[in-house]
Amino acid sequence: MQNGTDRPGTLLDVRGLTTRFATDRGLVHAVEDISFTIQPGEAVGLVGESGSGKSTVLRSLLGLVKPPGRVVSGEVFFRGRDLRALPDDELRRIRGGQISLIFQDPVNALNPSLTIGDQLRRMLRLHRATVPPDGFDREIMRMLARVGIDATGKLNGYAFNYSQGQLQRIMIAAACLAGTPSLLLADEPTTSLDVTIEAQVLQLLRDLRQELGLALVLVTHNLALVSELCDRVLVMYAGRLVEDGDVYSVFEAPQHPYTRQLLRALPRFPASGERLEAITGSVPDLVSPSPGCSFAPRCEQYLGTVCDTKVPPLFDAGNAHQRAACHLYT
Amino acid sequence: MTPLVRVEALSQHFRMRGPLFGPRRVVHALDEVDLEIERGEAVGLIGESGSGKTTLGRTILQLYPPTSGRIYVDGQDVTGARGTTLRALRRRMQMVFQNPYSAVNRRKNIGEIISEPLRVYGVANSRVRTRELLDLVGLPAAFLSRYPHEVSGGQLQRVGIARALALEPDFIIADEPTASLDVSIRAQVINLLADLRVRLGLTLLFISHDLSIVSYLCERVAVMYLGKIIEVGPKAQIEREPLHPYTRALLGAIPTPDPRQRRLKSAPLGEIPSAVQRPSGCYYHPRCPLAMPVCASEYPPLELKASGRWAACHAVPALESEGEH
Repeated sequence: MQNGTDRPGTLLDVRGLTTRFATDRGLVHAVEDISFTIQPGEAVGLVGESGSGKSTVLRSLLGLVKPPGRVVSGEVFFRGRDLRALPDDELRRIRGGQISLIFQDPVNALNPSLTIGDQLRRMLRLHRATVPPDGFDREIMRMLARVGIDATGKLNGYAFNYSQGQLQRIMIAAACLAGTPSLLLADEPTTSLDVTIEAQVLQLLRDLRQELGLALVLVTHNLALVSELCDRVLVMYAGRLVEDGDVYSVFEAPQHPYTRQLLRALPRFPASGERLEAITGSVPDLVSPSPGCSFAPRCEQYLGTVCDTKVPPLFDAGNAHQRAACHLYT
Repeated sequence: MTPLVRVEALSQHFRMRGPLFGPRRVVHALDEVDLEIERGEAVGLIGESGSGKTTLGRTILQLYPPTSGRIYVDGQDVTGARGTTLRALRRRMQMVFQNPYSAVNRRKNIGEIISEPLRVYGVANSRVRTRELLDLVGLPAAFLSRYPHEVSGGQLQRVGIARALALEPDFIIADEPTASLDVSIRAQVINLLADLRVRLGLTLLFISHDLSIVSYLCERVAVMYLGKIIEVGPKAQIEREPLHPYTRALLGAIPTPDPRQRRLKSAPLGEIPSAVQRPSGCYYHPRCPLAMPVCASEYPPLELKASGRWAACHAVPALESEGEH
């Protein structure tokens, strides 16, 4: 399916991405035929519950899927070049330079045996040829100051000298400021943080994004974060994209029954006083995916045989900026 | 009426190894906490990591003895209870844990897991009772012979709830019971807890960092910061008008799933200090927008600020005249 992907300005254009994992139980169909585009400066939330494949999509984009996982097919065009066809060393330069990554757990993302200063110097050496080595430390101090960390005399500190929140700020500095990225990929960047610290980090991400004109793909299970930070939302269920739309449309008038049921199951603050509407059943086994729509067994708008036998493609649904993979819209 | 559970100046200090030859360090996990829980009430205990909320739950259950302070159940001092008294007490007070997988023995099937407390306490007809319990949490009888790895996280959390209810306790402490569950499953467990509370007349202490869940389940909320309760009051009033600046910051930091109401405009300042080296005076003063000189030197008492509402803050005037309970 083409979805206006040939627009000249498109930053990222993902087509038919499919990733599987070989396990002793059989092939896990983690990501099935995912296509989407990201425009420059656009913030997109990729949401789903555990096992939906959202993190695997992110890893697949950058060639970070490790065996027993494998990207089986698909293309990932970044500024017109297919990242999947690039040689390793070229991909490595793009990763961290033009496309940066932030992970959930900053403690594991940093090397515990190297000082923070050393790790940031390495990144500058790799991604910023314009800064001379004797200017590294000043540049690092400037980067850290921008994310709210006064590192005067602390560059020789190790990861354990910093709090979780500070480490995530350092990771953000490394991701956004070491290279000259145009796309930031963030995988659950605030999940390990407390709510007051989460709010600070989200605010920082929002400011930096505006300042640097960064496009963002935010992978999260938390719909509220997407609503706070993103322009557009992609909803995944059982390895497939089920809805794609701008945040206002999707949160106010979700079109896919899964999105609709998910939003109703979400506790609001303050509580409305009404009972939460739980989704019955549980997520399907991705070793033997249904030949039809994976959500059919839990769907309150189940249409019958067609849902069990045919995988619905993304149809136009709702308003002009919204698509849903559901037979309701054939 | 006598509260079902009352704790008075409850403290829990953990000693940690300090640097070699250096002094031992002490973590003040709980610091002179007072709290009353009425029979049939659901109290939400909220706070960020290191606030002491889990320690408070576990100390009330006497999983470890408090460093100081008293615990009363039905007006009776049960602090440091042992032997048959503790056994009888444990029967009345049960816990539901955050991670259902680590809270059960994976080599036992679900029937054995649920009936274990029945067996330990020598309850007759444990077979029938086990089936009843499974039914109570909405699981089919076929689950009795399944093993933990064969069921989903949400289903196993139901098993955890069934086991906690096996001995017909009147008090349940639930420690982040939905934190490891996905949204679609979380709603099932929240609804189940809400139903069971009403049906069985349970008293609930619900520990969570997630205010939106507390908002669904609880009538009263206690907010903790660095081992202290800093605000207690009816849920609706705290949500509408938090008194303590930390409560206000906490509520303001909750992201909302409504893009027309983006709230993350002014994130609270600073980080949570360590419970080993707490700030002087009010522990929140280095982050507090209302801090005054007195806040750096004196810890404010938890006092009545309005009808039914308690807060520990120098900047909020105390309720005058009928200030005594």
